[in-house]
Amino acid sequence: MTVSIVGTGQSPYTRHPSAGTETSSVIARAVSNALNDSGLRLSDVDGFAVSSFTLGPDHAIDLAWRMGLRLSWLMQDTNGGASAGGMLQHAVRAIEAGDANVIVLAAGDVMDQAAFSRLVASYNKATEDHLAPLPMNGPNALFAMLTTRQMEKLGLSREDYGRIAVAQREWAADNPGAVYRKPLSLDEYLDSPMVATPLGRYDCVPPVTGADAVVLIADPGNGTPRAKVLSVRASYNTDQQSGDGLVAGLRECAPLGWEQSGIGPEDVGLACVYDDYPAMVVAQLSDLGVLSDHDDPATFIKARLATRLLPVNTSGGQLSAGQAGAAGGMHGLAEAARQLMGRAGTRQVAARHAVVSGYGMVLYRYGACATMSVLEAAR
Amino acid sequence: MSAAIQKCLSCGNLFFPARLFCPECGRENFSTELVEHADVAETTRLADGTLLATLRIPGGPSVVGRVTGGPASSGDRLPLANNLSTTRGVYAYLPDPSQTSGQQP
Repeated sequence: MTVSIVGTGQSPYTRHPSAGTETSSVIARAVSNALNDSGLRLSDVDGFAVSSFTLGPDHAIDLAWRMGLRLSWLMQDTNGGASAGGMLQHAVRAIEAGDANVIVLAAGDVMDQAAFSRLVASYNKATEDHLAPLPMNGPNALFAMLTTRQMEKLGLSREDYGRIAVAQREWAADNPGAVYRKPLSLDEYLDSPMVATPLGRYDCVPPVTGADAVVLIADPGNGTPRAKVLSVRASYNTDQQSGDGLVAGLRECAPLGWEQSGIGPEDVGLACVYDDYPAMVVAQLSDLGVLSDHDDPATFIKARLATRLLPVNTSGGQLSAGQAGAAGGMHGLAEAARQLMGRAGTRQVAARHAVVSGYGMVLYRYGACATMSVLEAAR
Repeated sequence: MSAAIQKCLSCGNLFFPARLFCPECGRENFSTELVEHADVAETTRLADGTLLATLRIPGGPSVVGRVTGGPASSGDRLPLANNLSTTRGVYAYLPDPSQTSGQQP
């Protein structure tokens, strides 16, 4: 591939958006910041993609119009936490095919309590018909039971998951954009109120208002720091919701994703994996082969993840930075690109390669969409 | 006491929620099977005390229900119902608006 990310931007995350905050403005801020970061102008953009749960009644074209974009390529992705990878996959092909030269990918939402309640009550027909009436207000209970299955399968304890949450909070301390930056101790994690057994407060991703964006171009080859896209893979509905949810579609992406990138999971210096719950961090690192079948998962968490031997979710991840609706997947992509371009400030790591995963759209029992992207630091 | 589950008329596989095409054989002719029991795989208790469970329907899919009428744990076999019943005893409530009308917990 010959396409790179050359700019990232975020609209500041907040748990409590001011009254009247509009999704379009939040996303536009991220787009503007990403273009500033890239050194490009709005008039340079000829491709645009967006993902949002709350953009309606507007669509991608409305947002493009309001931002003054003149485009030859436009898309809207509805796959939540997997939308960033999906948009990236299409955008790379579009640039390679000559359909566009400068593409901005953006995702974001106004996700206050009312918007979150509306979203989870009518997420899809299966939720409306079979989950909301239980009652079930959001996916916490589903991932609680998934976590129980994983604990039994892998021999993990609450302490192990706590080490993931604590490690990500330590990264968040160096991310001014994270909504939770105060250090979190393992005792605080273990003593936190139960949300849905065995999940406590710090296992559950906090919804925030915000947006993320990245700018993609064909490789400039002029010394500009960039995050070169080595591979992008996607998988949808891999097991028809008939499994245990502990193996995501990501496992199907991994063989070709690594082959096309020319590296293996052992070469990765940074992993930004979708972290709506700590169990999904474990599941996705496992699917990618970063946590190999030969590793003891508890030892891996303690010896590699918690020690930063392998940097994972260096922004603090969604668990500490927040989940800005459909930007959940874009958050990790932007962070990986930021790191590979050397623009991560005091949390900068020395990684040459990063792997990013997306995960989303709980159809009934767990997510059905997965994406894998491998990036390389280049100039 | 039973719950309605979709059955593919071609291959006999069971599905919940209902599908448009059978993911196993690709056909689109279904019937409704009334299933009386399922086995509790995992449970989770919410902060308000609600007990939810993943249940395995013998020979069929795993479903998500609400345990009503008492406690239950992994391995228990529970009756299934699409309605919130006033019948005594522990059972799993499996909401399905196609089988009920105006039923609220």
